[in-house]
Amino acid sequence: MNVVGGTYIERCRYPSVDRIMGSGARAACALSGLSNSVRFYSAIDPDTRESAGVTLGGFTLSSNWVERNERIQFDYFTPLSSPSITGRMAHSDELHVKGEETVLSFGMIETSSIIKANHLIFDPQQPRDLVGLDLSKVKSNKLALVANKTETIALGEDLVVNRAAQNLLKKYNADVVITKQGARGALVTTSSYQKEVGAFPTKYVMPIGSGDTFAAGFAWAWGEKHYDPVESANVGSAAAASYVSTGLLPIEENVLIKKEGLAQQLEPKDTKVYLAGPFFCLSEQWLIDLIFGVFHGLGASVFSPYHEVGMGGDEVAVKDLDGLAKCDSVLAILDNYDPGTIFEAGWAVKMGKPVVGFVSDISNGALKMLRGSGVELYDDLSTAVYRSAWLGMGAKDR
Amino acid sequence: MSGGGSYSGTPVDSKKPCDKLRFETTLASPNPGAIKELKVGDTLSVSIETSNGKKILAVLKGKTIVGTITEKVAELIRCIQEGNTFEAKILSISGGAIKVEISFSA
Repeated sequence: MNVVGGTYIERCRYPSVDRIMGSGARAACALSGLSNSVRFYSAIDPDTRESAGVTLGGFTLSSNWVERNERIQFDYFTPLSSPSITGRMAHSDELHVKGEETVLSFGMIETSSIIKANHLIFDPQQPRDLVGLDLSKVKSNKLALVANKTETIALGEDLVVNRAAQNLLKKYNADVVITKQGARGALVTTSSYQKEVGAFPTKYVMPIGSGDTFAAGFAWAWGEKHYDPVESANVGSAAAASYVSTGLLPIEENVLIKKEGLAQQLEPKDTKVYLAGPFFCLSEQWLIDLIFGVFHGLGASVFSPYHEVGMGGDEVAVKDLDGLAKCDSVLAILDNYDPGTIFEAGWAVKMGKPVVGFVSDISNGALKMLRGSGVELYDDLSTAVYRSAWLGMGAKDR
Repeated sequence: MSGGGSYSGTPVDSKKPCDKLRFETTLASPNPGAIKELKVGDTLSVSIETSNGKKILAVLKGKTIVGTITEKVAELIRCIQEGNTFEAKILSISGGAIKVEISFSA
């Protein structure tokens, strides 16, 4: 298998991450335990070269590098936050990959690629300002496009993702379009059908790289093993679940084929999460805004009292609780133990709705009533957000 | 770029004193034969090794490579080359996922 893509410095504050990865490097490492030989094509700058070599040195793959003029670094405050990118103007020579059976290619910041392949799986990696894909330098007998929901809607020029995916298929003469939908799973579109596959819920979620490992699993299944697109998407979903929960690379074959160690795959369904949390100062509103903004991309809708009802007096209570009643689950932001948030969590428990709490001092004894009545508590924000969506979709396993 | 204002990035800690370097990570490329001999709480050694002609940051039980480190690579290499020693304490083992805490030992 061949992987073309970026090798970048990745840093995150919560949880703490400091590594050399990037979509290309991660996918190549993920596949290195599955395929007989993995060839990785990427660009690297002199400052990062040694660390990149040591990082990839433990994996069974061969690396083919072109020189890049400066380092590229992604800094995340949390995995749910948009990263700050250093080195946006970096450049390198083009990457050439020709005469290969299967190529997984990710869009790169610093260059483009000239590819000739039998099976090409292309992931544009460009969530903003995406007006069109330049596929003029790639030739393949079979083409699968793997994109997230925002990319699919932008490229397919339709706000309804199902129609956008169908447009994308025709526009680029693709055999398959896979739309990654975060916690919901993925939408598979071919000329003869459109089907969703669900996610495998996990007990911990570190989402950076989830899309890359999904694409890697899908590419291996569709390009090398010639599984049909739906089964290939299931393999991609399993790969993503394994990576986000353990961070383990390479991905193990028995996880992808037998789904070993994974919880039951969810059926994709619409779900609405009630976002309970304080919003009475800048920092509290900042956090609510961040979480509110990510749910759509995760495949769930959200009722945020701050956005829907707003500030007010006693009259907000009934409006907030009416909103809660229409939701499938609750995500409670518990830091500083806002009385309204805790009340809403208790109300939801009594209504029989699953509740997830995000709290920094998770071992605090004051949480006993919440924990003891079945509220799932996490000190990791991404995990809490994903779990609230999955529980709303019917995940049972804790 | 990002919507919510420019994030200035994580604090620069590449010059952190080596004796303060401590982090948790999941080992990459775990050795399936070695996993069976491991248990939670074991302390393993960390060193720069050469494997198949490539330089790696390895975690070892005795002389057996258990897995490799892919976090804080530049810092760890610098600290080891300056003469510092690090150890890896096993925090959890779940299937092939070995979670360790890397910390300064001498």
